[in-house]
Amino acid sequence: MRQLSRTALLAAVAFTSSIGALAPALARADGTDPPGATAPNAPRATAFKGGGEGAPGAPPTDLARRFEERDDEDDGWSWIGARFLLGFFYQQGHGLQSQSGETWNTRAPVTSAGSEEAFIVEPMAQLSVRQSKHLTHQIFIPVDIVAAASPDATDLVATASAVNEAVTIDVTSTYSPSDKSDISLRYGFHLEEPFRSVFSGPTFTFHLFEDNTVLSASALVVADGFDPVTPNGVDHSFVARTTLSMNLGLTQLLSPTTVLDASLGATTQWGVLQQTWNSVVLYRVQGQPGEPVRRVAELFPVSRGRLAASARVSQHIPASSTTVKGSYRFYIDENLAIAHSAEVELYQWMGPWFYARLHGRLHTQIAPDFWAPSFQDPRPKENDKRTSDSDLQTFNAREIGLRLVLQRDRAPVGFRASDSFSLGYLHYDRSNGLTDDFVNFGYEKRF
Amino acid sequence: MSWLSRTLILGLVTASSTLAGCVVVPQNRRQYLADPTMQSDPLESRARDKLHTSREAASGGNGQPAGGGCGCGN
Repeated sequence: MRQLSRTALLAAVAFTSSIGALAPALARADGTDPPGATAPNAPRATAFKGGGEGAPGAPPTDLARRFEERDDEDDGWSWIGARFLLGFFYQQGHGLQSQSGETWNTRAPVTSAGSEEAFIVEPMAQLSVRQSKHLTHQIFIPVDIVAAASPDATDLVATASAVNEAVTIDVTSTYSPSDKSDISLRYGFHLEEPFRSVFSGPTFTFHLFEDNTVLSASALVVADGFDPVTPNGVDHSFVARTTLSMNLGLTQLLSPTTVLDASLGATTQWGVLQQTWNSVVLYRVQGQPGEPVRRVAELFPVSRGRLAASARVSQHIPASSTTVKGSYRFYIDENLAIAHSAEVELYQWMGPWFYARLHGRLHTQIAPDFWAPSFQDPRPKENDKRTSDSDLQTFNAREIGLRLVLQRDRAPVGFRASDSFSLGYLHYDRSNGLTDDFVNFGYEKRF
Repeated sequence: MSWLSRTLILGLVTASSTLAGCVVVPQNRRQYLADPTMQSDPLESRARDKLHTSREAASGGNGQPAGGGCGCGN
């Protein structure tokens, strides 16, 4: 933890220094530039406010008077837009945390990795509404319908959770007191057998240098409560865990065709962190009484700190109507799980109102220090940490995908409308044998 | 000083230099930045993020919480 804290502190200081380096940009800012065009990093300033107000160089105004004037023009509730996505996942693979056999309702041998075959239907909706000139709400509603991933013993015997449903309501309300800053509150809940979860946290966003630089700082607290179902399907009442995440974000325009996005975040969790129904293989030391090999529940530490840093550069090439995005993310936690993820996206306009996106992603991770394919009993300490979860194993993962988007607002007159359609497919596979195929259909309506 | 600290310092010094040299883009020269291909579909991004966070040991630390449901070992 000491090394992680030192790294976090160092990174925060360096991040602050890099922001300080932006100061010369302020001196070069030209306050006379006419407003109008929409910047990708400033949807609030332009889409909701019309831009222009509070330009650098303008004399300070009485904030209360400005609010009063705007409230007079307030036109109340209205829709901004709606998005819908219907996704289908099909997963195949094997993991030691699963006890499922090759077919439903059969059990894998005690020392073998069980099946992780699953089919997931995932409809999602995102609704954006404006309550007043200062207040907007974004409501995100994902639903998961999962057919059998990593079943426990009860599932195998009774098929009690053959199909599991989960739903989240995730609302972000944003108050914009001026064109230079926003205050958002994110709040919501998640229901999933056997989980109940609530979350809430603020975000402060600052739009600097005519929106050339956007800085944000956010925090989020998640409180989970769940039934600690054991690998044998026994429910031992109720346990809880808490997660606190803090994040710093930066969006910086580097040129008329280039944008940089960067973020640095820390997460700490405490409580019951293991999935209580996940199991590990435990061998009895020779000569000890009892079964020579059996399954017992995995055990995690009671707290866990995580740190991640990411950056993405987006470059548009007007001559060929192409956009290229490259991103990288680094992750480390106090149990020494380390991960690197890199992604490249290539967007190409195929016509005036139709574009394609091809993307590829590579991920590599090192397992936490308490991962092993099997354990021995008795352990040096009675409650030592242990997991054999295949998601936490050391592996490499690859992903490739294609997405086609039809923008009807750019279509010929007669077919033109303020909406768009998309069709996407991606294939994901890991070096430890798990594969996923994901197909999705999207629709967006702008009001 | 560990390799991690050295890497972070190097990366952030490079970022500082890059940002210090960047130009201010006036609002009337942002039409390419507003191109739909420069944006991301938030729903598709969230679906992909969930694919990664529930199948890899690297969630959290990026503004999105770890935990909060999804009975997966991350």
